[in-house]
Amino acid sequence: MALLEVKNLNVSFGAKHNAVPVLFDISFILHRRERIAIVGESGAGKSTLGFALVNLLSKPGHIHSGTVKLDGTNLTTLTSPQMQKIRGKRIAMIFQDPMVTLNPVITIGKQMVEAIRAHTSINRHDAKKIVLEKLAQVQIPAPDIRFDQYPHELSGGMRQRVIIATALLLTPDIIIADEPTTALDVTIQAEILELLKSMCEENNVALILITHDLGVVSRVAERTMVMYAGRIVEEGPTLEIINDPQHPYTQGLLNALPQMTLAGHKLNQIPGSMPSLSDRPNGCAFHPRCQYAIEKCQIKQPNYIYSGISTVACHVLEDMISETSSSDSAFLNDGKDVL
Amino acid sequence: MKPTPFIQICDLEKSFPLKRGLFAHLYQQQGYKNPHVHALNGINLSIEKGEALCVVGETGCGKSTLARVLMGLIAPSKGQIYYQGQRIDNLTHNERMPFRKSMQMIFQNPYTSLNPRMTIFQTLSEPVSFHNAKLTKEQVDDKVAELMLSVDLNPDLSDAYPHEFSGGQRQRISIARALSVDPDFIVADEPLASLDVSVQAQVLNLMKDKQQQHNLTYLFITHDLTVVKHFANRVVVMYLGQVCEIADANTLFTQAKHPYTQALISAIPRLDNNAITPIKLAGEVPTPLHKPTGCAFQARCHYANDRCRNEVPIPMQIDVSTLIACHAVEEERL
Repeated sequence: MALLEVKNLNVSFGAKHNAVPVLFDISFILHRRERIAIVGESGAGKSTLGFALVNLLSKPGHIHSGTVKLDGTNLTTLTSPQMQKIRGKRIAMIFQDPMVTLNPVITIGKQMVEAIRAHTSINRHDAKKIVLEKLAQVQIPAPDIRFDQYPHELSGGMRQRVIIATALLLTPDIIIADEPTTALDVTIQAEILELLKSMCEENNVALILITHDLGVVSRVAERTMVMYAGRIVEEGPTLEIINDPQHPYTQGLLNALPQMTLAGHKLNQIPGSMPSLSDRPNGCAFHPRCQYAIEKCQIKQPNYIYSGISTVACHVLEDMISETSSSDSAFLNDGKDVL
Repeated sequence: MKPTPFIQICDLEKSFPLKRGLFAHLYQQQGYKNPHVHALNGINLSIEKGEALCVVGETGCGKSTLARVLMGLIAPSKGQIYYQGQRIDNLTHNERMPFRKSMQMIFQNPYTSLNPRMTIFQTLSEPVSFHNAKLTKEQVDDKVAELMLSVDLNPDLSDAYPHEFSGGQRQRISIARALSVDPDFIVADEPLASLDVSVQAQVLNLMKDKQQQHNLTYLFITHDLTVVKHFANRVVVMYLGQVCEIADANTLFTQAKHPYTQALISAIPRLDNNAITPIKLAGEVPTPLHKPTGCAFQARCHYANDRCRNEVPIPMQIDVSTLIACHAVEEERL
């Protein structure tokens, strides 16, 4: 059985009569020990999805319909105390800014011990042992000294290591990492990603990585979901998606990266910008910016189809696949030529 | 004789004193006398007309301070800045005025660098009429419309306020504002940092176009090396207020010499999954509170020896365009 199964998840903001839907029919499966990434630009709904998974949507956001099943238990119907037992213990979260996540007036050791004791009946002495062990595991030098220090005494990279150690304290099944390296410098970012990946492998933890950076994705995740305006537009194995993107938005996103263009040439840009969720275009939300858009795109939301490489929601691609069974059409190879 | 560079920076230093407050108090207790944050430690740099010079480095390396000192927003502690041969760092407010017209700045965050209470027309017309007092109202109107068109914005939107625009559009307004006084030098401090990938490409293309149209010279500050490769003619790599390496963009990405540059380049998140393993640096950027002895990078460098720990490396001309400050390169240990 899949570890986490999300089915037709719909999230809206606002009261019933004027609710604005922000996530549409999100369905995916996460297996044990798997690392997946959710990619998209700001406003795509990726963080909202992360919060929805652990039932942490702040008002007026709420889950409108759909299920999130962890080992068969539907999380959307749990009461708040029941959910608290799952958060931190079975699903841990890592956020973007470690300075905001850590309490600035409590030593990191105390915060970590508290996290253990909130979920188990381990005594302080043993909890401290576990904390020191985890701190050493995330390569923090002199953990016994760091244990009694306050967050401000640590550097940014070190703080993010502490957060990762905290997330791992109770060996959860899933870690949801929401832009864990955005606040860090490149050299530190590379280290933290490497650490996150190896920690998940060593501790048998599945990872959901939320990011806007496709370079980060290729370093960490096995599978990738691309989100646009609250909907998953493409889902498949990371390497395949990067080497041969199918959805026009994924193609645009990849081609817009500076490394995709020869130095001195113009960058490939996607015209326009992401629509705000309150005034989402009809049909396929990407159609006003899509160079391949046909009439159907303005009317009807595309269904998911399997292209042979990834699962895509696109009318043009659907027509192409039904017309010709060969996948050598010019459109499908569009991304590859540039790479 | 070498022609005068467009802009020349000589031995520029900037340190911020920590006089008051909790931290100064704490540091004084710890035995630091007269604590200063050393943001820039002796920068030598020249910028040629028409080039795009990128400054890269991690947080706290002094790249934004460099931009601000160059623009005259803060005064340097030491050193000189020359604009076309004329010294500009010691000018009074009024003497500086003509230079403000030819040097403009684009800031990182278009959400905070535009006045939320001014319409786009007000934002764009203010510098135009301030620097060209003789223009009639119609001429100013025309100029603003022309500016908005030049950055692909509809002039009909000129009565809108900044909050009505998206991040990318706001950054284009910032660019239009910088161009409003027809400068020949633009300092852009992380102009892409708060934008999404697809919008970054739009803004970068626009900046490149403007450079060609107006023969602009750019000082482009960024931490994103993929952008550098695309945009820059030359690159300056900074570390802890010092210049590590200056090189042509192409040379830098194919044969970086300085150990820090090598580590930076290896750490770029790439799409061709893990083709290069990032070079691990020991530790993190040290605090600029006290000047390190010797090379600024020695504490994290794999090649550091006793000389690196004691002697500050002097930037050395390796070939026509490459300048490197590193003992290991100099001694050919690397």
